[in-house]
Amino acid sequence: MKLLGKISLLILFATSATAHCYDAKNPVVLDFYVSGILDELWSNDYHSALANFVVAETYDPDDPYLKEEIARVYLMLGNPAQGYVKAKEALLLGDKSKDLYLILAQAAAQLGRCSEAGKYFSKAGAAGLNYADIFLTCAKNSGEWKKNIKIVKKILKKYPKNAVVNAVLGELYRNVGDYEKAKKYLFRAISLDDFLNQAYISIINTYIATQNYDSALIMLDKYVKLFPWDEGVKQQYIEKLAVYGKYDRAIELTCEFYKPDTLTIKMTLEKLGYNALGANDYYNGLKVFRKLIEVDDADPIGYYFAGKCYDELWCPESAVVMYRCALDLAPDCDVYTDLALVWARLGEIDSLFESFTESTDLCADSASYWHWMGVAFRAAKIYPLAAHCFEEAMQHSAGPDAAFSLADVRERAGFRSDAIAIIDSLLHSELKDSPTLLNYLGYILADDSVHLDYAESLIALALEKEPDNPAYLDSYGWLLFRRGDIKGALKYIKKAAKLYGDDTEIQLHLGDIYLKLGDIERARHHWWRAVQLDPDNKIAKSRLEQYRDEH
Amino acid sequence: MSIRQIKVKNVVIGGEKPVLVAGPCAIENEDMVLRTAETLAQITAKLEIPFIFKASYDKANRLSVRSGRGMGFPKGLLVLEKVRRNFDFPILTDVHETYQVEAAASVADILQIPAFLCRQTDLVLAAASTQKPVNIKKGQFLAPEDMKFIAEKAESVGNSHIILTERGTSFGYHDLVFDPRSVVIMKEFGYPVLVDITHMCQKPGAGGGRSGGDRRFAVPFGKVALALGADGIYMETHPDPENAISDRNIQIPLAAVEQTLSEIFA
Repeated sequence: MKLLGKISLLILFATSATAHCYDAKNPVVLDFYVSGILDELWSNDYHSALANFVVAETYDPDDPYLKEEIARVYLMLGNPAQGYVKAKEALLLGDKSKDLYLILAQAAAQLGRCSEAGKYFSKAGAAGLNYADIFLTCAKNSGEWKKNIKIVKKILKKYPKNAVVNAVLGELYRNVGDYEKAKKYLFRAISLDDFLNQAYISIINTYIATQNYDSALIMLDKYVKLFPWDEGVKQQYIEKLAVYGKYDRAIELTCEFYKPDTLTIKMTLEKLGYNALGANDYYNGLKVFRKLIEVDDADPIGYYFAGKCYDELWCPESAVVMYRCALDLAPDCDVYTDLALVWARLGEIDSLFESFTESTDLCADSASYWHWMGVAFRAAKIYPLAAHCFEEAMQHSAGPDAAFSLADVRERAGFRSDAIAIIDSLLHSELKDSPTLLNYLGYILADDSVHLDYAESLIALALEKEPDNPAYLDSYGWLLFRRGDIKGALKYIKKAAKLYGDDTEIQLHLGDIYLKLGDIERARHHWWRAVQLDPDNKIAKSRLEQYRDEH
Repeated sequence: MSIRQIKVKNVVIGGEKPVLVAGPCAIENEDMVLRTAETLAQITAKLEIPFIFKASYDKANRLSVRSGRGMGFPKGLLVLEKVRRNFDFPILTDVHETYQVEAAASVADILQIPAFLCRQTDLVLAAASTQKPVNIKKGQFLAPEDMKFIAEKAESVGNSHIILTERGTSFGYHDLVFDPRSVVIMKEFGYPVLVDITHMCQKPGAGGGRSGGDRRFAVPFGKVALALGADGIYMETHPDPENAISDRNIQIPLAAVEQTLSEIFA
């Protein structure tokens, strides 16, 4: 309700209370009346208002205006059913005011009784036109969009130059997907009242629905200029710009809207940056986080996430600079592990060790830290230290990841029996159904050509759970290869390669299968791909070397 | 025309006092850089000269492929980052590749466009787009008047924090000369002008696959530059120039820096 209406209502009630309810024998009634109105109008405390009105009603149960007020408060409290009952009581007691008809129309609309809402709305006359949006409420509550379009069209015939009614009709058309008609009525609405904010928002939504993003942004721009105090829409505007990839404008507006409130600028930029990261849009993410650094170069967040973006954009050198800047502002275990991972990828072993030794004291209690440091050392092929990190991770967390990783590095370091023992112990724990573990152990056994029946049962179980997992398909194919079923092996491993061809093992296996089939040329092709994927792969290199001269 | 002042940390370039930009040519190792930085900070504090530290993380424009380039990207830049953590003075470094510009801007307070690359539009735009002050060294092959167009490139992305540096002009083969008119001409553009007194002592390629030079002229060049109203002196120094990986004939020995500055800034 608009403030002006409230003031008028206060005056109306002060008068009506005196006229209708003032009872010399019970002067307290007036007190409750006035207290209720004050609660409602000045404090927006509808619960207290309702309590005061209900007490007043016990003293004067036949006053229709009191019931009308109770009905209004019920509506404000989101209880249209009670509001409807009280408003009907007021009507029966002779209240024929336009306010009451409007309350009845609103209550009926909220209850989804659209025809009834239309009937009472008509009785409210022109005074109620500003509340024409009740038909939107009604349509939402009843799902009867077309019926409400008919009702509003009738009202519009009577009041064709009413901006609100035009806007409501436009919004109704938008909801049924008739965007041309929606635009027609919405634009007519803002031509009649260029300050009708809801109509602008409906137009923007219409443009968005028709994927006319440029027009949506132009309209949003206009809206923000017309209603600069609408903070919610500013935020939405910025977010929408980001959704459509217009990060430059989003960043520019963020700084323009909130200057000099650095905190809000930072929060908005962070949100934008996280959205970009969430959408894997590292290029724009980088733009946002670089701006964040510009706004506050003492905040490590900008540096850290700029580093993450560089990392994802394959600019590891820039990533390490950013991570280092972040660490200098605030040492953080996540940043240390990310930095270590980049050093490992760059093959900068000294720097990897430096990051590790620098962070160990700070992060010694973090399982995640040890896990990721293990991953970094594994990537750098420093298996003993990787194993140490995974062992530390296991001590700090009961999860299977660290144990599995430990088995993996033990295997890579050539201690296959250790790996088998670790996986076997995991398979005797609550993780016995883990397809990753089942496949892992099955593959190792198959590769060693031992316990092949057991290995087959393990891999088959893993494949049962994830039939399209390329790793499991490869394991099964390799098991068949070890059994001598070369064609069966080829079928499974080709399927694995189709799902994920960029795997060294799969390419190596394909090479060996084709060798067995006598197709040296194809075999060489797959070994060559394996070397491309892992330039240090000794097996693939030696195969290529071995079969180079002969063929 | 008044000169636009550029404030970087506690140093004003183009202000009342001429500044000093100094440091080793290349970042050869962390220890050397930190030691040089500390010594220069002490000397300039004693002589009350506003000081900006310079060092290059990658000497990407050496004459020979066999010449040392320093620690490179990113390790050299991380050494500068360590300098930033340990000292308050501003840091200047040069960029050779557009993809390195943003990382360099995260560490350095001033980005520098090398003389050989001063006409590379993309590099100038990338450096200027960071909105950090950009020091553009005048190409040895370029007329001072033409530096106006280079500055316009930087200005085109909204960056007016531009510094121009005279570093000598090609004189036939294997030699450079200092044309003092360039200081006067470039100052007319309204940007602070520095004079690189060591590089203009260079004799490019005169060392047989590497540059020679004669550092004797550094002091007189410096005096002339300040007399002409240059906004600062730019020079390279090394704890052991004879064993430096670059510019061994022109870098001022660190032990001689105090005496050199005393003479120039007297």
